[in-house]
Amino acid sequence: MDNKFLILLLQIINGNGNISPLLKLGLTYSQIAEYTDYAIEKRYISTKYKTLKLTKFGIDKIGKINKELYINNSNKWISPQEEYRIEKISIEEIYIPRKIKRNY
Amino acid sequence: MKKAIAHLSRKTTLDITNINTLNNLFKFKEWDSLLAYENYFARYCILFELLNEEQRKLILELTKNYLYFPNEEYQKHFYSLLKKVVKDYKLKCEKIFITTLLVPVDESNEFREIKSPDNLLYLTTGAFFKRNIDFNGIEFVIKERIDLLPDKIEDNWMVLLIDDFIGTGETAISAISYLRRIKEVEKTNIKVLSLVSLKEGVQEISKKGIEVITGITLNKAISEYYISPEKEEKIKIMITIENLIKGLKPNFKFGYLGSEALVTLIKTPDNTFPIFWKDFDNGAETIEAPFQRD
Repeated sequence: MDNKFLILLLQIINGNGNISPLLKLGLTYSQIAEYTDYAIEKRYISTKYKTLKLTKFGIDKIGKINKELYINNSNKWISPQEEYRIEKISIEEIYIPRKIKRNY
Repeated sequence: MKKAIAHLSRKTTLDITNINTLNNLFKFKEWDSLLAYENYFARYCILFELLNEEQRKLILELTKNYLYFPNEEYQKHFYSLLKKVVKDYKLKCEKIFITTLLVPVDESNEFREIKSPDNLLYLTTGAFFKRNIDFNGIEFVIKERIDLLPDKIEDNWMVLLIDDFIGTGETAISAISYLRRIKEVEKTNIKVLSLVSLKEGVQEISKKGIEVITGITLNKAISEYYISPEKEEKIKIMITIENLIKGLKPNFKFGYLGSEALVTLIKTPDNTFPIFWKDFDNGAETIEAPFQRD
């Protein structure tokens, strides 16, 4: 299990539950199911009343993964959007994003 | 139009609870061990995105009763049906001809391509295929097609017309009349043997005086499963689900001629509710059905 995906899954469960961020990272539906199974088995999430909820173990796990991944305080509850991360470029180069949001 | 399944990294309205519900259903059905599991699961998820709560609930309930009959099961089930035939007829019958109930599509004698007689016979009879065997004193002879049977079927012989699925019974009835048109055979010497059948189809064939031997008989999945007023509610919900499939021919609503089947064999019969096998466009992308036919 990749902690990068696991922490995002746990954070999602703690939030609105929507799986779009996991799909955007390239996980398939069945892989998301597999991560969910793993999190239930490890008791990071409970399935009481058919609703998935983060447990105390889950909260602890988020803390542990945060430490492992050296995520600072501000990122503790919000994972970086890995899909937007770009490779380091030289100081001489100019980066032009593929899509620019326009508000006008 | 792009296919939804090839474009998974898009936004979705599904949450982890939805995924967990479907995952539990797949485990319950033991579909998580299927070779095509990933595809089936993704298609279910994508279909779920388009459904409201009551529609999802109905699809979940119907899926619990869905029969997925993989081709690995064909021989095992066929042999147990054959044992039943031997037990029932060993004193009355000397020779049994096994053939398919497929009939030529046209005058040129061309047989349907997808369900070729050879394929079906191979899948069901396996080791028997193209070999005559003796089984408890009954000689079994396999013929790929009806027209290859002897011109006259003797009184102590039997013709066993086999198929994997009997739907409305139309195919079997036309095969029986084709057989009786080109060969000299009494009705009592003809039996239809099918792995899975719809109750309605079995009744139609029986009305013609032909016995049907079948492993699994299926009732209509909504109108013969639920009782009023739940039945009417479920029918209404299924109508709203089928409204998603633009241009669905009236003949196929609730499955061919309203069969209300929930079954997939090597292929999903069109008797199954079309939401399980018919791809459709939702305006933005092609939604692939979980158990598509093509």
